[in-house]
This record gives sequence, C-alpha cells and structure tokens, in this order.
Amino acid sequence: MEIGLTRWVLTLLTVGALLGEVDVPAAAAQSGLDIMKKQRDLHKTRDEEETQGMTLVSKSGDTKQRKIVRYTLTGSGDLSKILIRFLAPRDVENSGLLTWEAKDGNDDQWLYLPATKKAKRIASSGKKNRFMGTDFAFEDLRPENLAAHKYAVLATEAVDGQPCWVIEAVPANTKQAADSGYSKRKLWVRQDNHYTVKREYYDKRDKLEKVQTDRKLRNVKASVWRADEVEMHDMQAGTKTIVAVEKRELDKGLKDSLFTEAELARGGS
Amino acid sequence: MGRPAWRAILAAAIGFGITLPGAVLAQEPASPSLSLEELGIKGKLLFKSFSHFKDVANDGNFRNEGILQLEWRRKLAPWSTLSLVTEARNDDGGFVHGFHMRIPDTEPTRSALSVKELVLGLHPAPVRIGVGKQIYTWGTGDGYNPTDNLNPYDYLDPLDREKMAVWSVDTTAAVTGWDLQFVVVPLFTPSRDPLPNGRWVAFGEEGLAAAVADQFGASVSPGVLQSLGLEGELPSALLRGRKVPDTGFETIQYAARVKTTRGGWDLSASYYEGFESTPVLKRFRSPAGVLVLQPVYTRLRAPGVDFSTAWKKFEFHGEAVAKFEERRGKDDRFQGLFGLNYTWDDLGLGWLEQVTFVLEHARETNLSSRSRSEFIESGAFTNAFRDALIGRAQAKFTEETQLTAAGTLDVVAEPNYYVQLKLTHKLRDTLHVEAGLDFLDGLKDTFWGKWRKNDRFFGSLKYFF
Repeated sequence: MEIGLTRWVLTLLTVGALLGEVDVPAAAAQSGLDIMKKQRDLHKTRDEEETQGMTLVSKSGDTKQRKIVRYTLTGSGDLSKILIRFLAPRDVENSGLLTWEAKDGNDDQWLYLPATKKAKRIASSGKKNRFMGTDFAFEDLRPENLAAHKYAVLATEAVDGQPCWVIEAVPANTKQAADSGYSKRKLWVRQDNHYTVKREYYDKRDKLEKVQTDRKLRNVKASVWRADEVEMHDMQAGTKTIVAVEKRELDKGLKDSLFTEAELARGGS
Repeated sequence: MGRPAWRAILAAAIGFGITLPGAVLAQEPASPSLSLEELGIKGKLLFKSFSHFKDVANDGNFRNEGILQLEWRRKLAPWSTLSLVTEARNDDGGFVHGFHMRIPDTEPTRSALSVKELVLGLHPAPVRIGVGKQIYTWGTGDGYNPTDNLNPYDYLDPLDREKMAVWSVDTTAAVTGWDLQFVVVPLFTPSRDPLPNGRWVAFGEEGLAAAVADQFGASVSPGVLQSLGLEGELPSALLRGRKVPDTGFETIQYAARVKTTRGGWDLSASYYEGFESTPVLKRFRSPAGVLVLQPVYTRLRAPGVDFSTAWKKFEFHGEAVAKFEERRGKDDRFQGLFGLNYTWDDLGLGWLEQVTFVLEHARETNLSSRSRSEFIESGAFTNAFRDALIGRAQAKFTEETQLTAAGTLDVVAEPNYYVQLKLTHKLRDTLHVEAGLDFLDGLKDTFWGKWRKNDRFFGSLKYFF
C-alpha cells in the first residue's frame, strides 16, 4: 500500500515537472488557507493611511484622473474597518465608502454622496457594483475574508521571476456566492514574502472578467510589504484602472472614531 | 432681467462650460500653479431653466437661474478647521431680490449674495464641535425624513427645494460604538414659502396670497374658506402676515441623537424640541368682529427613531416620529415611513449596468386633537405624506449617463401625485448636464393637485472648478 502511494506521488511529480506547473511538495507543505492566514499575519498593520492617484483608462484609451485617501484600522478578531474618500475630481470629491469587515463575510458597508449629504447603507448585492466608475467593485476593496472563502493551492508559477503559489478562492457557501459578483478568483501569492501580486476574477459564467496586478512592491515595515502601483484590467469591458500610491503612513494611531457613519457623512470636513 | 439678457447668460454659461474645462485641461501640464485649488478656492457654476406648459395668472411660464458657489476650507490647527460656502445668484422669476443678510434669515426672497454655510470645526477626538451656519441630515428615508427637523427649506420652487443652513452649535462624540450628537439652534429660521403672487402659491389658483407674505388686510376668497372648512364664516375674512416667533430664551431649539450599529442594524433615537418650519393658520376675531387668519409656527416636542439594515439584495429602512404640540398647534401627530432599496445588477445587458429601485410608504396619523383649537392645519401647509407611496427607479446606463423616474402618490382622500423623469449625463468630470419633466395632478384642493398647472420641462448645466 505504502509502495503504491509512493509510486503514485512520484508519478504525479514527474507529470507535474513535465507540465511545468504543478509543484506538489510546495503545495502540500501548506494548504491554501494556511498560506492566506500567514499572508494576513505577515502584512498586518494596526492602521494605515494611503493617498492614491487613480487613472481610469477607457476602451478607446481616454483617461480620467481620480484621487482617493484610504484609511484602514485593524481591530479585535483581526477584523478591519476601511474608509475610502475621494479627493478629486470635484464632481465626486468627498464621496466615501466605509466598510466594517465581518467574520461571516456579511460586511457592513455605507456609501456617502455629497449631493445628498447622507450616508446610506449598501445591501450586499451592491458590493458587486463598480466603485465610482473605477474597475474595482466594492467587494474588491475589502480585506481578504478568510472565513468567507475556500482556498486551494492549484500550482506554483513564476510572476516576474518570483515563484508564486497559485491559489483558487471560491465562495465558502451559497450565500457568499450569491453576494459576490465572482464565481472564483485565482491569486498569485509570492512564496518569499506571501504577498499577492496578481489576481484573476472570474464572472458567474466562469469567464475571466478582470485581472489585478500589483507592482513596485516595497518592504515598508518588518514583514509588511505593499505595492506602490496596482492595475485592475477589466478584460471584458476593455477598461483599466491604475492606482499609484502617492503617500503611505503605517501605524500612525488612527482613532476608531474615524471609522463611523457620522464621520463618513461629514464628508471630510 | 429681460429675456434677451438671459439668452446671453445661457449662451455664455454654455460657452464657458464647454470651452473652459478644455482650456484648463489643455493648460494643466504647462501651468498647474494657476489652479484655483491652490488658492484654497473651489466652486461650481449652475444654470437652471424651467419651462411650464400651462399659463397661470400673475406669473410667467419660464424661469432661468444662474448660481455661482464658492467653497473655501482652511485647517487652522491639527484640531480645528474653518469652512465657508458662499453663493451669488440671480433669476428672472423674482426669487432673488437685492442683497440682504438677516440673522436669522426671515426674508421672503433670496439674496443675490449669501453665506450658504460657515462652520468653525473644533475636533479634539473623540469629540467634535461645529459652530456656525450648518446643515444637518437625519433619518434614513430616501424621499422624506420625518425625523429631520433642524433645517428649514427654501420652498420658492417646492419641486426644486433647497435646504437652508441654520446658525447652530453641534457637538458630537463617538464613545465605544455609539455616536452621540447634541445640537442647539438659538434662532428660529422659518422655511421660505412660495411667493404670494407666483405659480407655487399654497392655494394654487385660489390665491391665498397674504398667507405667505407680509401683506396685511387681504381678503380671503370664498373658495379658500371652503377648502379650510370654514364655510360657515362666509363671506368675510381677513388675512394677516405670518408671525415668526420672537427671539428669546423660550424660542431656542435643541435636538439630540444617539446612533449605533449592532449586528448589521443601524439604529438611532432622536429628540427635537423646537418649531415646525412651515406655518399653520390661527383664526381669531378682530375687535370689529371680522374673522382674521394668520400663519403662525407650532412649537413641538418630537421624539423619533430610525433604522436601516440589509438582507440579501434588499436594504430596509424606516423612520418614525411623534410630534407633540407644545404651543400654537392643534394636533399631536405620528409620522412614519418604511421603505426598501433593491439594486438589480444581474441584467446581462451591455447597455444597462444596473437599475436601483426605492419604494417607501409614508403615513401620518393624529394621536390627539384639540377639537376647539383656533389653529387650522390644512393640507395646504402641512404634509404631502399623510398616506403616500414614494418611489424612485434609477437606471444606470454608464457611469456618465443615468435616467431617474421618481415620484410620490398621495392616496389620502383624493389621490394626487407628482412624478419626475430626469436624464443626467456627464459630458466630462467637470461638466454635467441634466434635463427632465415634472408632472403633477389631482383635485385642486389636494397637496399636489393645487399645482396641477405647473407641469414643466427643466434643464440644467453644472460646471465644477
């Protein structure tokens, strides 16, 4: 029996080596969830403030500029609160999105639009929608929710010369599946620093919809890495959103009171 | 201002709107230092035009408005900010009359130059204090907020109403998951009522002119008395100008709100003690024995609650308030609203991204009534939402183009309604254009029906800088 199993593993290794994709020892060493948990632990900060410039590229190549500030606070149970506010252009200035991460994936989300001077709760279906004309859906802007997904290591593959695990993330249950705009995602997680450098998003018909690429990685603090440039490419619509980080501050002591609906509705004033 | 002058303004606004952004964009790389933003000034320029389809006595069918808003914000210290919004405006409908800056703003018309908002913010976390002329937005309703009583409205054009900021002190604190807010409004500002000689006068073609202006001694027509339930008083009655409460300790208004989020529910409780911003009619006999009617403002206490939560693809929300009359009123009332929001985003259509639906039911009931009260609370001045369905459907074709159908159907006694269709399009980030139609119908003594001759086309151009 033992001999049979060894032979089966060796056969699989040989086939994998021939295909150049499957690296069973590496994959077997850690499960997909283990890798994602370690990623979360390694890149965790208490709080973070980032100012980002966004370039929205249309199918015809026309560009529009956006500027946002993003505040993140990680609290008890490793659950994050995120406040994103538009700084430019003028017509969307002070629009904001507040997310309170929930363990079961049922995040609380509120959207503030200055025209109404009111913050409104968003239903879960709203999380699939694009955020203020960018190629990011609301759900793309939330932290990776480990409890709401199942992770499986598919293979190893190099991205820009760096070996990565290719991890498939699928909704953990039917409710998560209904709330998400995606049937699955593929994540390329670098083996050296556990940072996700590439994400593929598949639509409900299992067709590739969007590809997110993180570039210009920097070791910003101890084990914490961040990308200074992120590109989200909507393959179906032919549009792109390129995010360039202009300013980043870690663990500056952001207060919990910043992450409230009242603060969101204040519109940055 | 004559029509040719307005045509020139429109042409200039369109020309300005279309050419300036291009010029600014073209210049941006070469001379970024010229931006107004570097001077700390931002703003928007609006041009609005309204074309009514039916004639009414004493008012024109067309109205054009030009508005320039400038915003300036300065950080005074790490814990303090000052923000200012000023406005210059004019129109050819008589809504703007000269320059005035009365505190509180009790003028029946708008000023050509005004301070819209002015707030000194002091925010040593977790407390924030705002002092100045401010706008508050309470409640979770989409089309109507019965718990939102702090600000009056400018109802010169009721369909294009504008919230008026009030001089006030706002203190908020975030304490262990609770947001606490306390607001003091020392001076009462009434809502700005429709012009007495305009097409939006509260009694429509019956023309209860003096009820909404400082015109003393106007006689009240038999038709108006009938609609007020005063047939027995026919044929004589006089009308006096409105009486705004005197400024003093007794007229201070204050409000408090506590808000939290628990298990996916946003919950809040509020309390308001102050005046209704729209008047009721007080009737009394003059020494000569003539019936006199005078608009006065009801002082009330209003505890309220509101909530919002999400379930599957629905967002549910509701508001309820009990309004207990304290002075100058007749009825204690309950006002409530319940609604839902649904976004249909699995359309599978290339040309239509999503459709958002909002449906609400608003209800007002009398909790107690003083049958011998001298106050008349007719539907003319009070609530459009005594038993009303409110709806909005918003079709988003692209990020730039949206079509909205919104309206309310008042089903109390005689059905009457208001419907608006509106198409908005972003020509570019800095230039938005909007066009639409307003329809109103119902019997002439119903809330919306009294304005049934006011169906119209409207368009606007908005330039941000």
